[in-house]
Amino acid sequence: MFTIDNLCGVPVYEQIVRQTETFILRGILPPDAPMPSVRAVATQIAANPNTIQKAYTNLLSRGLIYAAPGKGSFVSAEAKGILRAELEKQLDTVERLAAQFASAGIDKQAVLQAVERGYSGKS
Amino acid sequence: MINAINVTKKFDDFTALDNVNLSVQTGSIFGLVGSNGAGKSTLMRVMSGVYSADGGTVTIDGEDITNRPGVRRNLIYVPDDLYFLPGSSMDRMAKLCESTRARFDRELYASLAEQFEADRKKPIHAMSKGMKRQAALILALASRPDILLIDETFDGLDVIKRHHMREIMVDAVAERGLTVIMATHSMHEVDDMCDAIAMLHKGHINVQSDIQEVTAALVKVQIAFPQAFDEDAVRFDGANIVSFRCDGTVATVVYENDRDLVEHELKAKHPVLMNLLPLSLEEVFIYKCQ
Repeated sequence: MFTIDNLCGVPVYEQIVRQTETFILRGILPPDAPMPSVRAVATQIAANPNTIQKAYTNLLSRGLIYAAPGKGSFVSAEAKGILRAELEKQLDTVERLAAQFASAGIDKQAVLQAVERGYSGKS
Repeated sequence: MINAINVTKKFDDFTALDNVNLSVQTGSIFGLVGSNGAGKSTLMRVMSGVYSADGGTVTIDGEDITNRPGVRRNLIYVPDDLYFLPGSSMDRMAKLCESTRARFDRELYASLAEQFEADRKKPIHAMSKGMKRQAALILALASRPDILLIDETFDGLDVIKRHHMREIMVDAVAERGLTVIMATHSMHEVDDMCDAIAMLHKGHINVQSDIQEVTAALVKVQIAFPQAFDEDAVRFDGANIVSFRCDGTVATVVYENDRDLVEHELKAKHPVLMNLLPLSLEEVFIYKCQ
């Protein structure tokens, strides 16, 4: 399920977390979908199981997945909503960036067009 | 869990290990790195019971291994200088393993030998270095140990076999909580496989932690000011500068400080350029062992 980029310098556990977030947002991992077992992922990408566990612990602590004892981990029903809320917190980053663009004299239209492109590029 | 507690080991006047403390959690893939002659192999031999420590103890799940071979019965040590019975083939060695290791699994042995296309009947001494190591690893893994100590883990194995060995090891760790301690020179290997490491230098441990913390302990900064400057320009209260290299107006500085602190303090000096860069494990090792 996961494809690891060994050259990009981003730690494996972070890649797993990011990819899971993307899958959840795009509906590839719908609510209550089973997550592959730590063991399966570790063996598939030949990575340390503790690393995979770290990624799963992160997802668990954020409420994106839940564990059913003896059955494994599954995507939470609220996962998409949780991710949306987390992302919304980053709106002030956009504001800050906009302020920086403004003070550098960058045209507001250019910024708005970039936002448009971002929205039309994704579903 | 396997612990080395205040372990000291001397050879005549030479102190190979000086009050070494190591703690390895069950199910961890632990990397033991160090400069040549730092004491990695000695430590492995003490932890596996091949050598007795002159001071301190080694415990497995809290039990002292000294003079109690039973405690070590599910620990297997694969040294860097491999030993096989003279003239033996893998099958002959398998027979020996079977009689000396309670958990030796014949089917697993056969399966592994097949997966790695190993010649079970060929005399091992006639094999290449890589094939000998492969034979040793197959026999070790087929014995289903709880703890595996490997010196120079994949030395000589080709890329494909290396990858396959990793898959098998990782599977054993995930499935039954195998603990692996690997002594190695290869930072790449450690980066790929280990969740925690310790660095040995001249008989002392100078770093021990999980991988993320180790690389976060040092901060590398590329910094520039409009005029030429020296080390004082990048110093601040509490700065621990490990390395300063400057050519003209751009310097590379390595701090042993918290990253946010470094960023905050240096920003206040209004540099023209400032980049905080990640350090590779190899770089951390070099800086720590200088």
